[in-house]
Amino acid sequence: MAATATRGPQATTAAAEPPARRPAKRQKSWFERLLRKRGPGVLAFAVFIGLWHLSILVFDPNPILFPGPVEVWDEWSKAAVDGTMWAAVTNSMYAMSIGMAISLVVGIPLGLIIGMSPTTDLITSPYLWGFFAMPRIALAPLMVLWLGFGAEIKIWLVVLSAIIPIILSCKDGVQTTDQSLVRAARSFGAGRVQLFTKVIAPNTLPFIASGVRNGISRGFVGLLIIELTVGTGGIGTEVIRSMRDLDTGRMFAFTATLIALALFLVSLSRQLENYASRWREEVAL
Amino acid sequence: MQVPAQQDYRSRAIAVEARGVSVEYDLSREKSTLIALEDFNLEVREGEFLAIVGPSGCGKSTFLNVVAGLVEPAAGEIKVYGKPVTGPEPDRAVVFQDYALMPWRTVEKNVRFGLEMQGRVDSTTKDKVAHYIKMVGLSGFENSYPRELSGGMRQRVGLARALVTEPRLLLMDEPFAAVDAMTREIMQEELTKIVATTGQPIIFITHGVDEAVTLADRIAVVTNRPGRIKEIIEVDLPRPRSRASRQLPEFQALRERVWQLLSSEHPERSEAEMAVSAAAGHHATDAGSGGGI
Repeated sequence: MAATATRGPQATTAAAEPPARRPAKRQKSWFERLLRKRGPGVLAFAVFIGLWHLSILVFDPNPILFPGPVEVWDEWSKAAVDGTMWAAVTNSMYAMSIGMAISLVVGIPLGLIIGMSPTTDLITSPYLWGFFAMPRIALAPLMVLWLGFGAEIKIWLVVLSAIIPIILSCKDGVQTTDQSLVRAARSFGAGRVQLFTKVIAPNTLPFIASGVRNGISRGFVGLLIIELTVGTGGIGTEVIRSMRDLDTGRMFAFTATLIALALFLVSLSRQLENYASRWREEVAL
Repeated sequence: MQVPAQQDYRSRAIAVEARGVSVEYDLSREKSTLIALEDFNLEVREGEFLAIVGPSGCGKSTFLNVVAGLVEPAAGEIKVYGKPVTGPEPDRAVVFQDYALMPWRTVEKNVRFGLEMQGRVDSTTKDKVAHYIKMVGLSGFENSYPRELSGGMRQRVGLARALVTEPRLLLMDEPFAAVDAMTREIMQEELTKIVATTGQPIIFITHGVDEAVTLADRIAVVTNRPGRIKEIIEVDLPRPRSRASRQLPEFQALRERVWQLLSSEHPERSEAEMAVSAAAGHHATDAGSGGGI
């Protein structure tokens, strides 16, 4: 007992934990990292194209039913050279970006307000969830009736598709703000404005980003619905038009561009989300 | 050498004065009113370390929130340095049990959070923040996020965030309850050293009896709900206190006395158990305090 009594103080007056870090053994070059990250995907894609080409050579199907990669590439470069490809991409992306801009400018503040005010939440949530669950294509006939076949109908369908997930996410972000953080801010004398700007808004940022990500993918789907069914111009319309002309190679070419655009939008929104939620424990994918 | 400085707090000015404080919560679901605190009277003097212990749910944290200005009492009056409490003011700072750090802020930015809220950011802020980060032993972690830190380190950030506002009263709400036993002991020792240099009075909520006896000048034992002061115990153990102090018979006597007061208040203790424990604890009470109840 005497021994523990004398040993006690030294044992407990340990210094604060020192930084347990050291430089990594060897920094990989950017090329090496790129190769590691993208290499397998690129390789798999090359193998896929190779198998596609091989199966065309072996089975020799009717090109109207099943074109080969060479044919698709020819159609793609033809459309790229004569400008129809870029016209379609611009047409689609114009409606997409205007629609997304409207959705963000209106949706984010609206979501924040609904999150802050329980009464507004009670009033609006049945409509929001109803709209969220309803397939957007059901709106297409009404939209045509009101807006005709121009760019407006596409923009509005993007807005109607994208704004709901954005509003719902922002609302959730505000409502899930940790009350202990609010209390801590209040204990330092934070007023309503500071509570909002220094606690609620930063807490909601990752939610906003994930709402935007959902909004982008849903907005893109909304855009395609209109382009494919109503024929307003843009990539979807080109796909449908090629199909009607039995120009399958061209249809494949435009569909490939469509997939590339979708990939681009998804990776853009992922990066946005990762950036906004870099402080969170979960690694957002 | 610190002993006289630590013990003449009784002659100092009153820092906190609570008179007949009651706090009630409306329970709308049960259509009743919960009385968390009733007729709560307490004085804290300048430079004093006051620990409040009580059974869980007794309202001891509620009292801290009243002093902090976060909860409004239904009745009674509370003054900090002679000024009635109407809300949070920069003269008080709170250290929370769950740390309550902003997860999107680095250590450095978390520490300056309080100053930002109080609108006191100026050219000296950076140095001040660095000074207190160093004081709590977190130099080198300025740019870490809370999720990268252990519980003990997070609470160091919480302590630095409170201290950097240079409060005249430090309120600590079970600050070490969520860290492991080893870290807790280290934190207790460091807290003692830190407050010896900063000097403000502290109200320290805890349910750890050893912690209270180790740290406090006085221990206020609170009754089960509705919370009232059951007894205030002076801790006359010499400072600095360490783990070795716990071997002193005086320490063990004090601990036993606080335990006795607390266990008779424990809400889960049935009357039969109380009778048994009273018989069993009789010897310890006698040996301990020499009868103070």
